[in-house]
Amino acid sequence: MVKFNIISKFSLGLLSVYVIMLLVVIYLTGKIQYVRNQTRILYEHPYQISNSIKDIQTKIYEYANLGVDIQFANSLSQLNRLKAKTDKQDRLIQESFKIVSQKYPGNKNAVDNALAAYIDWKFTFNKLYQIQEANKIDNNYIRILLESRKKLEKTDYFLSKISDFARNSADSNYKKIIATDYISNLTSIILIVSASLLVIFLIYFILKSISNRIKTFVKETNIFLKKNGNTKNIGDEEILVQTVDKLKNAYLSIEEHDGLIKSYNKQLSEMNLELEEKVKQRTNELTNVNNELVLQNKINEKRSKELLEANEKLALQNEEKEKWTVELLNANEELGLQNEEKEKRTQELMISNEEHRKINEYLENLINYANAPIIVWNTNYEIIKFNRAFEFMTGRSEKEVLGHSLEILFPVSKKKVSMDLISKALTGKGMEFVEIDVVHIDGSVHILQWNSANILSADGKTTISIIAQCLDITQRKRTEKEILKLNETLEQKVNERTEQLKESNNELESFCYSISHDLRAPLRHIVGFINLLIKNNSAVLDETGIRYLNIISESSIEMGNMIDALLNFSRLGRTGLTRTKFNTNELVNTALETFKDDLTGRNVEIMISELPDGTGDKFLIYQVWINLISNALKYSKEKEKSIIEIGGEIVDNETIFQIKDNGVGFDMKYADKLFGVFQRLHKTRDFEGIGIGLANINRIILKHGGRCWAISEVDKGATFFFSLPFK
Amino acid sequence: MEIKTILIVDDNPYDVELTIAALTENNLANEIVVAEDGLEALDYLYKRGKFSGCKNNIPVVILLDIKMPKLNGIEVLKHIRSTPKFMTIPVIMVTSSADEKDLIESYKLGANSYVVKPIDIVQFINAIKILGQYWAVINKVPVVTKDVFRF
Repeated sequence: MVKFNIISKFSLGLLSVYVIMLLVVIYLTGKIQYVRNQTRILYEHPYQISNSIKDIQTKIYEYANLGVDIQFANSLSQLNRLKAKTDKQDRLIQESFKIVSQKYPGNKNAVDNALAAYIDWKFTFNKLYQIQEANKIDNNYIRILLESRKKLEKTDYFLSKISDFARNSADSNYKKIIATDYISNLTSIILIVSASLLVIFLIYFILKSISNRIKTFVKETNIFLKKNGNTKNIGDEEILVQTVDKLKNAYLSIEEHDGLIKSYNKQLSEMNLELEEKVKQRTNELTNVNNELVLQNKINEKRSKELLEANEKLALQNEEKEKWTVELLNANEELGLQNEEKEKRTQELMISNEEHRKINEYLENLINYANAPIIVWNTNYEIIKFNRAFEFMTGRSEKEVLGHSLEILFPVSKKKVSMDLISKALTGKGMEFVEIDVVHIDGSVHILQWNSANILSADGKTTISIIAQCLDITQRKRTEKEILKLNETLEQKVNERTEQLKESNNELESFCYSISHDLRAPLRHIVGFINLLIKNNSAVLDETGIRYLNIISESSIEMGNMIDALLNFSRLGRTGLTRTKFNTNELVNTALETFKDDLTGRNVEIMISELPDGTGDKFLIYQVWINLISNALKYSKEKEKSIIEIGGEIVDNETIFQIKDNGVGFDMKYADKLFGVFQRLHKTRDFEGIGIGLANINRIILKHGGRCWAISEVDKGATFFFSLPFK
Repeated sequence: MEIKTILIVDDNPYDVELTIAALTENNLANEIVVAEDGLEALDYLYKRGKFSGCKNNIPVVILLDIKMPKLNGIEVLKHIRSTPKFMTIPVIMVTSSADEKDLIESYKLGANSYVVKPIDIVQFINAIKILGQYWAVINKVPVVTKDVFRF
């Protein structure tokens, strides 16, 4: 009986505990699973949808981008390839839409709208292919292109709306997640605590009941032993053995149960651990979500910070303004102080006013009694001051003219012009040496030179009146006119005289020419007939007679040469210049060629440096060189070796040439006679020539606007210079 | 042999005499006709006035002075060169002095040569010699030419 009792009680307790535990665990596991699912749906699902929508958007944009390639497709095969690509893209997009439609937490119609917009866009977009295929790119193409762009934007708008909604619902679900999480955590903790308490209680209860039973058994045994005393009864011994066996069995049963409990315990603790781990995992996931949110918070914080900084700046500006206010206050105080000083000044001004009054009186008198006419008028041109000199000038008194227009002062014919000049003074700074006539009442007109100044208002901005001082320049003008007239006649006279001089000069030239011309004929006759006389009548002539005739003939020829030279000289004066630029070295060399014959039998060294170009009448300058070289050769012929140096250089605006010889030279005393006609510094017997070469040179060079000069010393050679201006 | 006539047009008898002397010296005195001014020169050519009824040859050369009364040398030259009949007669301008204006004008009008009477008679004889030899002897076919003789 005992055995049954113990085992059945034990088994019943264990079974009930086991059943309860199982129920609790099942319930809790289910609960946790529910929480898990709930959480996942609440939190993961909308984000997934949001991402899916984004995926759709990206795909649609990829699709649209193919449109660019379509525009630039240059072959049909390329176009077909693109078409295949877009078809594939379209399938992907449609599938994504299906997924979104299934999972979308909000109104499914919104998804359908987006899908409809997409299909609409796709339809328009595909039209582009047809046009491209037909190769008819025109305005219509562009219109469709624009239309498709609009529809694409519309599709995008719908999709964004869905995405936003999904995201918003995800965000709003976050709070629910936290709540659910709390429940699941709490459940887990309760589960663990209650399970642990239950097991401890169970063990305690079982052990207590076992020990009680053993105590009772020992007690019964002891009573049995006392009752039977020393009596050794096989029956009793058998009972004892049975009891011990029972005891053994009870222990074994305890031990067995204990192991069972232990194994249950172990299982429980494992379940606990698993649960805990799952909780941990959830917590981690939640932590991640939290982190994301924290990141967003950080961004918000950053913006807040920027706003704070901006606020600080504004605060700083405010501070500065406050500072200014303080400064202004200080300035005001100073002004107050200055006002005090001004009052003091007013006192001083009162005194100075008296002085001013005196000065005014001086000025009044000065204006009134000044020799120069002085007048003041206001902006309406009414006379407000008219001094005595003006009264005298016009024959009008100040009383008569005050308040009248300035017009009354001017001659009738010049009123308008004069008033125009006067009005200019009002607009400008004033008149300066402006000539305006003024008429006397007796009709005589005075020419006055007006100088005026504007009298300004206190602020210096507006003119209130004009003061003018005049100078009577009538006499000066008259004199000027006379001088001008005289100048004109003088100029005319000078012109006339110049003309006359030119004429008489020309006359003189032609006179000189015709005289020379006419003189030639008789000379020719003298020489000619003497020649005939000597030839035909030599029989009747003695030697002396023939000599005389020869002398007459020679002298006549010389005279003829002089006349020819004169003719040539006068011709130089009459002919014009033909200016050119020429190479002087070439010119000099050509001139030297003509002296070849003269040089034979003579020791002559001619040195020519690099000569600058000359500007002038090439033929006349050639004559100059011929003359100069001829002279140099002529006057150095007595020397054992003639040395002639020819040079030239540019000095300022002219070219200066020179020719130097080592000949007899001349006394500088007579240098001024050098360039005169028929002037000779040497005897004809020593040096042939008629003395016109240098005169010719001089004439030519002067005609060119140049100069001639020479330096020399007796027996030490001479250097002749001439200059040619560039123009 | 054809008689070659030389026509001297000069108003100064002395010059005429000296010219004739120079021509004679050079054995060129074929037949020398003297006209005392331009008008007479044309009279000779047209066989009128003083020369009417004469059996005149066309001169082989005319020595024409420029400065003359009535009709001057330039005017005579102009007339000769503009008359087809006389166009080809060689004309040598012989003048007292070289005036550039006259020289240019003469050549423009087609003078065959231009000679300044030199004071030295010897030079003049030489000049006449060359001129006479060329125009009166050598040049048998008188043509209008602009060849220039320089002295």
